[in-house]
Amino acid sequence: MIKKNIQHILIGSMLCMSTVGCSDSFFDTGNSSVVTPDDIEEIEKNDPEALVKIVQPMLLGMYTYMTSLQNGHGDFGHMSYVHLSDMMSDEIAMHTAGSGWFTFDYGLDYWGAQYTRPYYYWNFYFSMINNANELINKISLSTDNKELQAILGQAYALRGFSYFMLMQMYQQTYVGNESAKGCPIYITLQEGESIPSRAPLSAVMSRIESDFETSLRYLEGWSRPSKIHVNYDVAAGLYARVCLVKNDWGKAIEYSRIARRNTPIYTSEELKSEGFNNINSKEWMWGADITAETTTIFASFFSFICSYDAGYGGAVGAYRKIDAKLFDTMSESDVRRSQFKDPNGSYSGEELVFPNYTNLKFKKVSNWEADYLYMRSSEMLLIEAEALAHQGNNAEAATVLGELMRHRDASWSQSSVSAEAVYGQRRLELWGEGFGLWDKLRLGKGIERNYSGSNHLGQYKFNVVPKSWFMHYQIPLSEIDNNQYINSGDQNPSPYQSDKQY
Amino acid sequence: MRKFTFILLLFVLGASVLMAQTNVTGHVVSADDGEPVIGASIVVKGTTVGTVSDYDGNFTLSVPSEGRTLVVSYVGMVSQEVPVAPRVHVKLLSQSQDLDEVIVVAYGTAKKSSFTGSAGNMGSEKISKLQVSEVSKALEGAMAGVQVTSSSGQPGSSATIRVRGIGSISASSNPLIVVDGVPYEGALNTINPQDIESMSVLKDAASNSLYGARGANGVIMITTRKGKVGKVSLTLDNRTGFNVRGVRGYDVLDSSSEYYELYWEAMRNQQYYGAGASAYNAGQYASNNLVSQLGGYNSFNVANDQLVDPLTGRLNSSAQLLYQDNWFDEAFSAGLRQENNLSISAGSDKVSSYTSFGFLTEDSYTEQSNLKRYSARTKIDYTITDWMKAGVNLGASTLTTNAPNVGGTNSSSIFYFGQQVAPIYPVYMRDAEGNYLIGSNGSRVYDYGTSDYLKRPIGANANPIDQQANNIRESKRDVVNAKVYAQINFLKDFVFTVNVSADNFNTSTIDFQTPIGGDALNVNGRSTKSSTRTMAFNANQLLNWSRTFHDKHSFEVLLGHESKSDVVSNLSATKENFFVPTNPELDNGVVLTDASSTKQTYSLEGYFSQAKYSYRDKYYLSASYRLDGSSKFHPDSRWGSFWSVGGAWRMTQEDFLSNVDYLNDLKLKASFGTQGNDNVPNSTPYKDQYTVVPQDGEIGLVYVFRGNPNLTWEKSNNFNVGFDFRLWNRFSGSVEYFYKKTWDLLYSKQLPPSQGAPSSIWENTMKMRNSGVEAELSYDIISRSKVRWNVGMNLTHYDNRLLELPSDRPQSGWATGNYLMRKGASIYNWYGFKFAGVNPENGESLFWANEYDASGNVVGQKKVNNTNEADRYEYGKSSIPAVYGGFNTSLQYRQFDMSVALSYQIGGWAMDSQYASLMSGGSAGTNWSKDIYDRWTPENPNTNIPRLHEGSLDVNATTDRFLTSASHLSLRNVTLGYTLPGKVLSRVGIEGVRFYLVGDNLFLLSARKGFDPRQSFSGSTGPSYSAMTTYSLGFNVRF
Repeated sequence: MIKKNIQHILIGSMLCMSTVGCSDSFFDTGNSSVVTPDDIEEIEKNDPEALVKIVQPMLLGMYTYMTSLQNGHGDFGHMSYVHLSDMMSDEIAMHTAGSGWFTFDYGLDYWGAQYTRPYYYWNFYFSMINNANELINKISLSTDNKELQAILGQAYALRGFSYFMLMQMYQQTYVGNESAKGCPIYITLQEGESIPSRAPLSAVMSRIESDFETSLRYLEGWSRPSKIHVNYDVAAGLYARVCLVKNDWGKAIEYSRIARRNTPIYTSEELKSEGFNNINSKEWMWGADITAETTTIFASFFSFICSYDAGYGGAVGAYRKIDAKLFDTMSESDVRRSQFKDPNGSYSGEELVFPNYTNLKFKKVSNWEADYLYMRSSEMLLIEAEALAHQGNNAEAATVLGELMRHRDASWSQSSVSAEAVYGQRRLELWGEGFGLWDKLRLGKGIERNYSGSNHLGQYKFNVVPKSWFMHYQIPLSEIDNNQYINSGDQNPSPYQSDKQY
Repeated sequence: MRKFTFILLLFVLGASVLMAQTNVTGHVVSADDGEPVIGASIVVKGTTVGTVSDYDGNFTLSVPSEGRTLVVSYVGMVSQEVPVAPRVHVKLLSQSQDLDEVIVVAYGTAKKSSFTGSAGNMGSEKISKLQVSEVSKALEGAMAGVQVTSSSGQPGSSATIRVRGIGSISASSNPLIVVDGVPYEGALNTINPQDIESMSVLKDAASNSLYGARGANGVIMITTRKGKVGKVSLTLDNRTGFNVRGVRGYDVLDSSSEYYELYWEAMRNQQYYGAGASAYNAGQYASNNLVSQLGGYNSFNVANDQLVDPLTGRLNSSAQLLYQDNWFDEAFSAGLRQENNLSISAGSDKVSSYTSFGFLTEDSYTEQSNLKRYSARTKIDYTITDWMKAGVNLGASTLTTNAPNVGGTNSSSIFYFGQQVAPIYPVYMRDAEGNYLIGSNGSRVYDYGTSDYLKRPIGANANPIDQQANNIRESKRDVVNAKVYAQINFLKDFVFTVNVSADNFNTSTIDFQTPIGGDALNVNGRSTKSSTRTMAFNANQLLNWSRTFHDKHSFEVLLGHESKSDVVSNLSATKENFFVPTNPELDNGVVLTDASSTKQTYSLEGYFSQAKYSYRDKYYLSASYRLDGSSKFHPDSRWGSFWSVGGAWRMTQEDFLSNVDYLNDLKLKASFGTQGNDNVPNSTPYKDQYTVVPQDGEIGLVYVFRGNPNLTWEKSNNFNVGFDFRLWNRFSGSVEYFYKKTWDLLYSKQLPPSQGAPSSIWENTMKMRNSGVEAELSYDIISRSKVRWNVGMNLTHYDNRLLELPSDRPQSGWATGNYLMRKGASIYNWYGFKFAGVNPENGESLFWANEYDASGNVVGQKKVNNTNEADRYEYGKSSIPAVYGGFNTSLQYRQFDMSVALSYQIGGWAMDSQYASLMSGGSAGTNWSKDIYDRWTPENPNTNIPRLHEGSLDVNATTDRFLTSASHLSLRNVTLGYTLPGKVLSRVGIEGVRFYLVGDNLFLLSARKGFDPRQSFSGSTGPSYSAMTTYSLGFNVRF
């Protein structure tokens, strides 16, 4: 009997000591390194005015996403696409193939659906769109809270901008191809129906215009805490880019003027010392502030563009040079000559080993913390001048362009300029900033690398005829494999081999 | 020593002096060789009276009057009961001959004869022979139904195991690992393989549905050694040897002149065929630009544009080679391996204990790649009263590993870079005459390929040899596994057991990128220090009831409850800019670039029961049920129930077979049941997840995971039928058929890329089956006391097949990467562009494309010259082998023993990506396989290797051209041993001494030199850390 009691006591105590579980809280587990909707709701619950605390980080997350490493060293977010625009053009001449990054872009070999680049580009901007939609979804479109309005305005601008980037790459330029197949359009439920198939360019363009107009409405009067944000001026500037593509010269003039009203341009002295690596720089309207925490080191824009550092475009030897023919269009007195290694110049130190035409424009910041430039006022001025010239207001265009040229080339004095002349200055001013390919596309230009005295790398020394599909991407194969609304019949054509002229 | 041992043992045994009634004298010998057994324990059954046999195997014992039976036992031998008589003579059988071995199963043990399930077993004698530092590698080719891949030669790295096919597509297909009854959440390299008594793999539902929630992919039960009743024995084992590279590299060009000539040809062809230049201009262009295209490296003593003749493409005959380095030769040299193990086993009927200490130090064949492990284990079992038992099992180990950053396609990996780099690139910098540059410290200067005028186009900024030597990638792991149990027998037939265990793994790692060169040169060094603590807590309570009625009907019932909770927490920080270039501690650096901490938890709770019935040891039935809740799923879909039934029929127990002489044993068995899988690599996959990112000092949120609140268990039905047999007392084995159907697969579905990131979502979708047969056979060719020779083999064939696709994807077949998911095909059904040979006119690669008629129907196939125009096809090949398995043989002749083990795979196809990149049309700085000799040239138009053409994406596009047979044979282990005769040793107080020579992973036969198909189940291969071959000499002494 005693033994039995002892046994019972022992069994009971063993049970007590070893039993955990048996309650719901036992399963309250998870990964505290991520944030879940429960956490978000909790924050909202504690402070009904706290929606800003949720959507503000979501918006900032989008800005971080733009600069974050995606797939491999050649894919570091928005700036990798900025860079390939110049690589897929005749702005940059590559010195060597280096470690191979961007060489297939340079060779315009990455157009096919089966390659990685069309997928990366497509997925990146659609991720921006998805994030913008998530954000827009959280806020009532009729909110009168100023902070929420500002957040909505930025989300719309980023979404419109993303559609704009997609529209240019996956179809021929808008004008003349309005009914050609563009890309799917995803919007939030409160805005209406999404289109999961390839919507016509006209529909994509309407979406972009509507997004920018909404954005401008929400952003009006808001003053931003830092230049990483899209504000009214930047949204207007982005919209001006769209208007150029649409050949809507009037609106391009209107919005580019609005965009640069608060931002001066560099004087020639300032330009000489400018490293294009600091968001606080005078001309910068919008950029990314790269810090020790957000830098992507070797897989970054500066790794490729900066000749002075250890990166691919530096010590690795794949120097980014200016196209020799483009360089030669600069007058001897042009201050922008100092941004490149002049074949007739004399150099010392580090610059001595650089090959001729190597860019000296993008300068080193230690620890890979150089900031990214998304928009500056000179571009806006050039949009205005170009649009004026397209309109036939060549004298007014010269006046506007003169504002810039005063600080670039003392010998420049013209009273009338053609759109082509403005474009020539645009190429020089914005070299390396990612406008090469987009300008070719909207202006219907080809690529010219095969000329006497060309400094392009041997096997990439070819011309590409205007409107060639080599300058566009196909819809990625995995979209066709996984999207039931897009099939191989919706695919872009392949380019003709003869489009490349050696 | 002898006396001391003897007295100690007597003391432990608690030999008590009682009134002696009968004096028994006896002699104990081994049935194997007739040699006396020293130290066998002889106990009078039901009492504590006992003794041990002496040096000649003799004993005398005074048996009390109530004594009727003696129990004679010895470590490694089958205990035997003999009636008390004045003179007894006992022959002990060694355990390997035990026909009714006990195997460890879920929450208990089972006799093999009564077991209704399917399990493979591997005993300590096999495990201890292999020189694996991580026990999972011992399973290669060792048992039927178990497939193993090991992609890394890093000491202590683990193998990946699949039991009976591929269990899941996206969720883990790894089997559950249970050590001494508790799921093990740490790396297996923390357990000393020498401490392992047995490893059994549970394969079917009857065996593992008691682990319902996590049993779907099989369960590996590892049981550590315990003390045996008998004399105290001490074993000392030492082995010393060396490691060398086990799988040689690909056959690549090793001559600079050949490389220059071929690269010239690639450039010339690009100009001639690609850019349309004249033959003359193309040749001139190639000669003028060859060296600059290759980064300025010219290893000959002639001017750059004089190196190759622009007309003939031949190297300048007056050019003299200045230098020629071989990266692999510089990087690899034999490493030392040494292992010492000491163990003490003791036991009486009240207390038994096992204690061990092990020390292993192992250097790989490449720098800074090693493992050092100290391990200790103690297991003590107490019999407190006749109704209460308790015990403790403590394992502790500390490991230090250095593991270089190799295995991927990164240039700082010697296995990638060293294989790919063209022979023209030196390891060390040279001056214009080809002499070594000597640095300020007096040693040679490594070439990183980024000097002012020499820019290596492959792996610039890297020198894997120097980086590997100076980077510090150290991981220190301290492990404590503590388990206690208590067991109470009550009400005659009931046993209540409680097991509690706490496993604690503490890992701290340093990842230091040297400021001397490489990635962190321009930030002056970068170091990440991280510390991870894993605490795995597990408790279970088991109530057993067993009773036999009328000596015929035996019942066993188990009721149980188990709960576990795991917490993994991590803290890490990264700094840049280091003062002392060899000190990786963060206090030596100044720029903080990252600091983070994380915590992840997992809990699981289960209620289970099992019932077994047997009739006259002839018919067996079993059934089990388990209800499990997992924290991985939403509260509404958290609980899952799993069950099984099984039966066995021992036909040889039937009268009609009892007089068939040659039939020693025959058992038929079958089982059916369900199991689950919750192993999604995310703690809460049912919730959307964001990460917090810094943005200009403010908080940013990035959407990183799409939650699916409906996500629930992946379930599988598992059917098994088979038989075990033993014939003529020398031929034994088992043959089984299995059919496993898995549905509601936990699948990470790729979304259309236009949905943006996160690019996939977890769903329960699709249905898949794995079915096949497996056999294990063993035959004793010679079985005499002085000569024994046994051969064994196992084989498994299985078929993996998709039965259902996601409803919103094309039902005719759906491409996911290089595979086509199609009903009726395997999940690794290769799919992609098809190579159609080489155009004999111009040497272009050709690919197949569909031809259509006017209404869009496919009417035939045509050849096209680029992948964009080509169509994708199924290759009709999968990575799943037709058969895999192993062979082994062991031979014993007097004092000599020898054993050999091989593993093999027949069938299955793997993508040889490394070879593909060595067969490119020309990529600056990348080497070629020697197969490139047979490339297309105008003189060699009929070939399957396209022309050289620099920078072409199509020449070596991923097609079935590089899909290579994964059939292979590997020699896993050869052991040669010599045991000193017992009589000699007993005079010096030693019980046994064995000397042995052992070699592991001695050779691999595969379709291509350099190609190791044992890297993955999916058939993808890459520049992995190739396996080690180990040779050692060892000795084992037993006191």
